[in-house]
Amino acid sequence: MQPLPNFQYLEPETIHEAAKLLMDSGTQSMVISGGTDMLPSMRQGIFSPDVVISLQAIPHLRDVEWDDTEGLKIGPLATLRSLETNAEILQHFPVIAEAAHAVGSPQLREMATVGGNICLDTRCYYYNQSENWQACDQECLKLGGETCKAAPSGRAKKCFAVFSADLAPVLVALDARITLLSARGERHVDLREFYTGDGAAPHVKAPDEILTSVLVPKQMAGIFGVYQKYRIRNSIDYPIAGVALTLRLNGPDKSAKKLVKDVCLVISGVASKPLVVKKIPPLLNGKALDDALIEEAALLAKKAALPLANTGGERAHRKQMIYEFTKKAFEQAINNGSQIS
Amino acid sequence: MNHLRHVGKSVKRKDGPDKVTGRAMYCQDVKLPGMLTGRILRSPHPHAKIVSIDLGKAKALDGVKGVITVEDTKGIKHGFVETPRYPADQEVLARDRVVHVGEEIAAVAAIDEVTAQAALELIEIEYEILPPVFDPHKAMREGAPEIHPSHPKVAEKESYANIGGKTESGWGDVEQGFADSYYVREDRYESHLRTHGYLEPQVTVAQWESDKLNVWTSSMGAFNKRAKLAKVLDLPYSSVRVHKAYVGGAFGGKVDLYSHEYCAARLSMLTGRPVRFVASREEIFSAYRHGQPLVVEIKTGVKKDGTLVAQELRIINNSGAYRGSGVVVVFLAWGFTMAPYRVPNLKYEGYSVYTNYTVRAPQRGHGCPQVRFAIESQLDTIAEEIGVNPIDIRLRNARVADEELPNKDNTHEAGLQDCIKIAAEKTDLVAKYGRDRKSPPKDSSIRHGIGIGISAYMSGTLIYPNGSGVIIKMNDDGSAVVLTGAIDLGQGAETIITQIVAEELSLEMDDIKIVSSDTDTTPQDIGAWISGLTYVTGNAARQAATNARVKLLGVAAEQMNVTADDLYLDNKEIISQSNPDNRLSYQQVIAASVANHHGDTVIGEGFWRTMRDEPNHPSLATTKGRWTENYAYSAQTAEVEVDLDTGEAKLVKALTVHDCGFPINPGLVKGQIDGQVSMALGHAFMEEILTKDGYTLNTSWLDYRMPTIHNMAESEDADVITEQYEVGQSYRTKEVGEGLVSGILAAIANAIYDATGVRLHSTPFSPEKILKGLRELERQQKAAE
Repeated sequence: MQPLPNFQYLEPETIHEAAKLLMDSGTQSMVISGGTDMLPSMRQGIFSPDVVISLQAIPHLRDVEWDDTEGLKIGPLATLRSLETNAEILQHFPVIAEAAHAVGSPQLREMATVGGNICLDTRCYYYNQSENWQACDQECLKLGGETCKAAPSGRAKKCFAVFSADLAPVLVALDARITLLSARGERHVDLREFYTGDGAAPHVKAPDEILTSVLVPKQMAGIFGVYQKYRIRNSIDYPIAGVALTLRLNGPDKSAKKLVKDVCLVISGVASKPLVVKKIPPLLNGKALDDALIEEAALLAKKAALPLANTGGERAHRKQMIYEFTKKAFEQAINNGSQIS
Repeated sequence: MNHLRHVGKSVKRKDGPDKVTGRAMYCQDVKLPGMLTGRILRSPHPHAKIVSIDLGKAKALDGVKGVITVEDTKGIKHGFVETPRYPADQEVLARDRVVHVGEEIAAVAAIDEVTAQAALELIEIEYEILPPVFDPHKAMREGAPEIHPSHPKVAEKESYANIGGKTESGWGDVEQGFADSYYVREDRYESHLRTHGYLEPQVTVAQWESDKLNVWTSSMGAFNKRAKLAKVLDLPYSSVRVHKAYVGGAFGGKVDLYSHEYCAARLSMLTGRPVRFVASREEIFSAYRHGQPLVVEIKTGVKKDGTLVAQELRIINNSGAYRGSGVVVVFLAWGFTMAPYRVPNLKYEGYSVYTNYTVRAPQRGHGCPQVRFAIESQLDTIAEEIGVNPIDIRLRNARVADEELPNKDNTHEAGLQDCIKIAAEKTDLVAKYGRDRKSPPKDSSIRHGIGIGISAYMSGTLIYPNGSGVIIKMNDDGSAVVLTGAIDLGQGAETIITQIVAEELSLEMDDIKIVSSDTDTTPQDIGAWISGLTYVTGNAARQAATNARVKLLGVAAEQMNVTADDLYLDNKEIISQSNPDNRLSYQQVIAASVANHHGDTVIGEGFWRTMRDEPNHPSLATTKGRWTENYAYSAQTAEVEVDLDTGEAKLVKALTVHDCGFPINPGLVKGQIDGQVSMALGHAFMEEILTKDGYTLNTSWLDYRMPTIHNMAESEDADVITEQYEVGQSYRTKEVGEGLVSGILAAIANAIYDATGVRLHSTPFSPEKILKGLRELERQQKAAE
């Protein structure tokens, strides 16, 4: 790792001031929140901003609030650790706490933020190299090369860097909406639409935009959710395969004949974005879960996963793990069936 | 009766307080006025000709104080091995050609890190790309890209390319042995590339003072470093002082001379200012030396009862771009083969093959885990085929006490048979073995398995500096200062040496001050990298204490008008057995010595060398000559859980039954065992250097997965005590610091087989491989139905 290069550090006190600074300082500026991913990348020479704008001095950006009309509002600077213990979250969306807990280690979660997790850069062995080593193998597409080094052919014109966040897939499954603000104005984007699937430019946030808020709609409160994460080392690793599942099971009694409603399955760590498995709702909504259906759903998820061997684990194995962990997620839903409505 | 007060006790570490309070000085803590920062320019190519180097812009950059290339050196080569057969083969900076990614080409000293880095980027080099080769089998083929010419002795008889060296050995008649065998099988096992994972990076500070070079460097033995550094700088040893610094882990990775150590020294000599190099973690993963992946082809014949009749091994070592310790590994692999089991007919050949990978270093176990994984896996397969259980087949072949080995070494009080028996009893292995395969649990995807592996490790051999000296200076008040060249890199050298001196001189641990690992002020020492420090330096310390004790007793006998054999030492007093009122304190005795013996302040000297009648180390090429005086034997068992859905295997419990002779400090022994079990766990399941075309892909702790606390397994151990320690007598302790990474690796592989029926032929034991094996078994089962 290189020494942290020189840059100008700014700490605005309002979000509008921050947006103006960001616009004024042009494309060589970046916003920092927790910095757990950004600072190592700066030391590797992957990011080299001239200006770093911190949001730490802006009040209320770390607030987490329940609003009876809209739902759960999460500030972008809320730490992942704060989500794990927040009473509103534990009451309305415990799966958010579960997913936050699955990230990194306690030390990282104390610093890492919701905004950072949503805007997490994609990862790849050929991309997350130090500056020196990029010079050795300079053709990585995301670093300005012409082809993707990770793709087996070596000739692909698309970047296959992997989106590896744990929280984002759960928020996508919960239909979260985010607010992006710039000196040009404010816009709301469904998180599902935020991600492009292009490893080189994984989301639609413009360089001068700041993520200012996350809203999880009220209608989703009480939905059953589970996040299953496969990784080698439980205290630190990114997901080799992540599976977020939300659904409701409706039925007259505690029998097994409860019917699936509002199901959503999102997989992470196996593509350049949190991938919504679109064939799951038509397959399952209105039906009672059984082994055959779960098997079919798990196979659909496996088919949707598009991993390469560029962040750990062989390609076929990672797909297989999506299958296994999708099954585990549904089994957990069934086991919790009595509490799901 | 043996009433030991310090030896054999888990006394607290001598270096503990310094380390837990942060007072301990590591190389990175050495800060000198005017110190410059050094950085190295490394090859971006695995194999290329250097057409030209232009340093102009780098030298002109503000803040740059020195830039060197090979032209600024004396061109003196160095090597891990420097023998007539295997002379030094590597220059300190690349000349005309680079042979691996990360090879050192130029070095810069500048006022700070950012400037040094900027200067590197201004160095202009023109390369002419040459074809690289990474697979050792391809590298051996005639016509492969030549990294270096094959060793002339090998080239006389064989046409293989890129052979750095070869070990050939054997006895009996293997062909006849196979013909006489009841059952014969051939297998092939492969191991993967791992690295040491020392937390302290490689750091060197060098300060030239007109005719004296002061060096602080991450090492495993100061005297070896001094010898190599003095040689490449063409300085007398007396002009190079390697100072003491604590070491934050090494595991074999800090033995060799590294280019940055030379560059720090040379740049300090040229700039007149102290220079410091700190390797970045990316550099360590990408450019520094790693362990050695072996391909082991093994053919074994046994009698009906499992008795080994003949064994043939062919080992290929992918040994990187220079000779490194590659030729040592192919010698050691022979030793780790022949030490544990009697093999009446053996044919062994091991090739060390150059490839365009980084140079290889020793890594804890130095070939042993790779070899034991192969042999122990195959032995379990054989046992099953002939219907013998895993314990019986091992007991039938395991060496016993007082056996002479083919190289004339002796097993002395070897406890291997007991190790195996105790391991079997404590785990109930025979009853548990095969349980989940015979009656698989119905409602669970988890399978349990148990396996065993054994190993033997040498405890010190002859390699420079060959011997250790210790000096004990008695202070006027009866306390003592111990001067030892031994280095404490976490294993506890300072503690055990102090325990021995305290025992021999009847002092308390706190009465002893230890001064260590400084080439100017302490006696020469073998270093902490040849598995002999407790035995060799420990016996030197014992002898130095004996020397001081004899002097004290002599003076006391004169003063007390008794004979010395009437006297004993107790808590800094010398007491007459016949009249306990007749006693003198050490303080009084030392004062009398100074008064009556021409100022003799009582200094004890001791020295030790293993195999004192052997002139030299054994031949790496032919294995002739003795290897070691003490073999440490062990049996290790692993209990694993395998998830059939995910293919994930987990070590749940490890048992290590070992014959370390006599534990000087059981707590430190336990620490070594637990450390080795966790390291083997990393080896088995997660640690792997991933490469593409010679580049390391995973260059961080995030992507090179070392086990964390959550991955640890329960680790139990039991000592088989085969030796005794008695005051005033030499002792045998056996190695306990690296051999125990081996049997446990094999045990894990055998336990995975036991749980699942999947026999793994390569490390790591990844979920991918286990799932693949399970699918294959399903296919076979279907085909059979």
